[in-house]
Parts: sequence; C-alpha cells; structure tokens
Amino acid sequence: MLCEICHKNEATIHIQEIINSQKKALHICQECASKKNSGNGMFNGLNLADILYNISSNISNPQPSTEQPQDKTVTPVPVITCDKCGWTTANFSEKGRIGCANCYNVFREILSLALKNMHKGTIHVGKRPGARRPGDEEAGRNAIEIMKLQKQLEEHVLREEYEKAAQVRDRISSLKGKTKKGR
Amino acid sequence: MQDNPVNKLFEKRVSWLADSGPEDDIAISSRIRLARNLSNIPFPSNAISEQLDSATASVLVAVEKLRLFRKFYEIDMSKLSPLDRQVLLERRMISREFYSKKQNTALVMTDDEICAIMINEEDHLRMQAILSGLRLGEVWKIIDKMDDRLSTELPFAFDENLGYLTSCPTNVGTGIRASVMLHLPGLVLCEQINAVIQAVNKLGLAVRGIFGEGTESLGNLFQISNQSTLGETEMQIMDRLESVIRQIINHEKNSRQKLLQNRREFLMNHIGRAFGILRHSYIVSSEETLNSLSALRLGVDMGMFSSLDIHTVNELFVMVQPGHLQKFAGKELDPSERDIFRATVIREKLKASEKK
Repeated sequence: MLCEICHKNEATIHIQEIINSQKKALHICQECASKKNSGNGMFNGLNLADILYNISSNISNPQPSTEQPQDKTVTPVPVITCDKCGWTTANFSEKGRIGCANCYNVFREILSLALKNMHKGTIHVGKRPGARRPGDEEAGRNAIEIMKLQKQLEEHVLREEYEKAAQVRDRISSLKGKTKKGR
Repeated sequence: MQDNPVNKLFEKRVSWLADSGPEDDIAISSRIRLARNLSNIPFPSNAISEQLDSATASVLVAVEKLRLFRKFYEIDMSKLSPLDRQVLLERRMISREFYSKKQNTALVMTDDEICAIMINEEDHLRMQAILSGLRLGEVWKIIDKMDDRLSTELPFAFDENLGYLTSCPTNVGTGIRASVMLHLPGLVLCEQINAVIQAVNKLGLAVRGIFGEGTESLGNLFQISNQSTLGETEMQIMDRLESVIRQIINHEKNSRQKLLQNRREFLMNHIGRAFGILRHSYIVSSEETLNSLSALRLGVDMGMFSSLDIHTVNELFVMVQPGHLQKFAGKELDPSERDIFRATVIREKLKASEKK
C-alpha cells in the first residue's frame, strides 16, 4: 500500500480513528510522518494527538478501500471511560495523553496499535522498580528473544511456511516456560 | 525565609558547560531523563490540585528520608518569578513545559546542577542527570541509582508488559530519553547537515536544534535523542544512540579537516569575522551572537585562539540568553536594551580572557 501523502513510499504507519461511529483511516510512510512531526519544534517525540488529528484532518476522506487486509481485524472502538479516573476515549484523542495508570488497562486495545508504531517493540524489557534480583537479566534477554521470535512467527505464517512457524512457536513456548520458572 | 536558590546558582559556573568531558570539542553534554509516575494518583494532566500537592509531598519526603542528595535545593515553582524560572530553563534544569506550568509544581535540584527532579511536569516525576562531554554511561549510573533508591520509597506505576506507565504513550516502557548536545559547524558549513539529520531520523532517532524553532538552528547546536522507549533495554537504547553519535562526531571532524585543507581562507574569514563581531560590537542580536559564538567555538577547537578556552565560549552561550542577561543586569531589559547589554557582557568576557 502506498503512502497517502506522498504516494511514493510504502505506507508503514497506519492510523485509524472513529468519530461518531464513522471510521477514518490514514496510511502514511515514515518520512511523511516525521515531516509532520518535525514541523513542530516544541515536541520531541511522536505526538499522538498530532498524529491522530492534525494529519488525518488534512485528508478529508480517504478512499474507502476494499483491499486493506488490516481492516477486517479492526472493530469500531466504542466510547470507553476509565473506572478509576474518569478519562474517556475523547479525552485521550484530544490530548494524546493518558489519565492514570489504570487507563493503560482500560484503553489497552486502542493503545496497542499506536504503541506498535511508536516503539521498537511491544513488551518492556528494561529495568524494574525496587532492588535488582538475580535472574532479572536473563529474563530480560528471554523477553527480547521472544519478541524476535514472534516477529519471525508472523512472517512464517504470512508466507504460509507452517512447519517453520510451528518450530518457532515451540521455541517461544519453551522460552516463556523458562521465564516463569525463573520468577 | 529561604534565600532565593536561583541567586546562588547564578553566582556559579554551569557545571555541565564548565567541566571537561570526553569528545567535548563536539559533544557538549550528555543528558538522560526518566519519566516516572505514582501508581495511586492520576497523572498530572488529569489530577486536581490536592492530588498534585500530595504527589509533591510524597516525592519531597522520599528525597529527604533517603538523603538522596548531599547538597540540594527544593524549589516551589509557583513562588519563583518568571525571570528566575527563565534562568532555570536556560540552564536546562527545567523544560519549556515546566517553565510555563508553575501551579502545583516543584523542583528538586542538586547544588552542582548534575541532578534534577521536576515534580508534576507531564509526569509526576521527571528526573534528569547531565554531565559535560559524551558520557552517557556515567550519566546512566547516576540516574539509575537515583531511580532505584526512589523506587524503594515511592510506588511507581509499573506494568509487567508495558513497563513504567507514563502520561504520554510515547514514553511508556523505560521512560528514558537519552540525549547528547552536539556542536556541528563543520557539517553545516559543508552543507552536509541535512543529509546527516535525515540519516539519523531514518534510524529512529530525533534531531532537534537547541535554539530556534523547527528546522532553523542557531549556533549550530543540535540535540540527538532516542524516540522509542519500549521493546529495548536502557542499555540497548543508549548503545544505539552512542554509536550513531560517534559516527556523527567523525563526520564533523572530517568536514572540519576538509574545510581546512580545501577552503582555508573561507574558514579563517568566517571565524575571524565572528570574533570581530563578538569582541568589538556595541549592539548585537541574539541570533548574530549565537552564530558568531558557534564560529568562535570552532576557531578555539582548531587552535586559532591560544588565550581563549572552550569553556568560556560554552558559558557565553548561556550568559547571552535573555534570562541570564537580565539577571546579570539586576533589572528587566527590553529587547533593544538587551542587545546593548549583551554586547557589553561579551566584550568584557573576551577582554578578560585576553589578560590571562
């Protein structure tokens, strides 16, 4: 799929938003996304509200495409409110910020796509609060390995290499077992 | 009544500019900040005044109980004048966002300006450590220890899968932003800087001018930092950043060498004129100052000025900014008065260094 802004590069960033139960999608490349981002010198890092709103408002009506494989898996997001702090999906979209620690559970599904695009991985492998325990380092290495394998697994499945996929899956589950025992 | 700590700071040199560090001809300073939140209080943008004050109180109690720092200041930001806040901003002890926020915010900072904790910025805690030169490893040791100790007293919001939870999802995971300030006049003069910025961006790192908005960068000072905070360890993030920084430093050295070999007169003229402006003007704008200081710094690096040391030039970068100028003058100055006073400060400083 080509980037909807420059129509040149492959789109690697996919943004979806739902306003009044109307779904809008935007597919852009890294370069256009960073251009959009660097236009505003005050922010360092990717600003979620900027990406979610400013970019997509530039594009009034993206072509409703039938050949987007990702659309099948995405279901419209209903308005959700955090039971601890009252933060809503609307607050989140408007400010690009989260209300409290609990919001990360409440908005987990909406966040997961955004996090995938923003960061190198989806699982924390860095330090933890409190005193360091022996085995933490190994657990960290395992987590990194698991993440790499999961990517491989997805690729094998896409290429319909099911035998290889099964091997990778077995390695993942054995690594996961090790991590649990270690803790 | 406590003395104004900003006045005390003002009497001292900025340590991360005045001390020597490895590669400090090109890498001016290394900084790491960590974002942390308290699990029992909503994040600052969603918290009411009482909640914010209780976050401040918890952090201050923890800092004191742990004897976290030997010599430090606790500063209630709402009681500070705009000028004093600006001085802290120019010394990079606080962020621009923190500078404008002021209500229910507090700052803890060490006397040597190496460590600081902003309380109730975007997150409950934004701690930073900063050292001169390219020293990310040393900076990490300092801030890692600070974070470990605080975590024994404060309930940090942490999730098994997502790591440290932050107000903005761009910081979640490690909550780390490691950055190095680089002086890159060679790459700018050789018109290579845009290629470098683009290459660095492609590697998932951010490049920002220190002065000026957007792509414009006064003084040829750039800050390179990591963007991704999740899915890598702190060490991996810093190693990736440092290897890119080392490459940029080599490119900068090569461009300087090329300029010296192929365009010697052009380079000497550029530096000599800048020195003339700084040493002899009576009115000088902030823009002209920053660009001339950059050229002067390049000249000092290349051994063109035997009596000037690089830290004097580094310090001038901070001293010529509006907050510091007005603090130094002891009164408010409008922009045209500042241009006159700025020229005076620079002339005096350069004159003094000649006598040494």
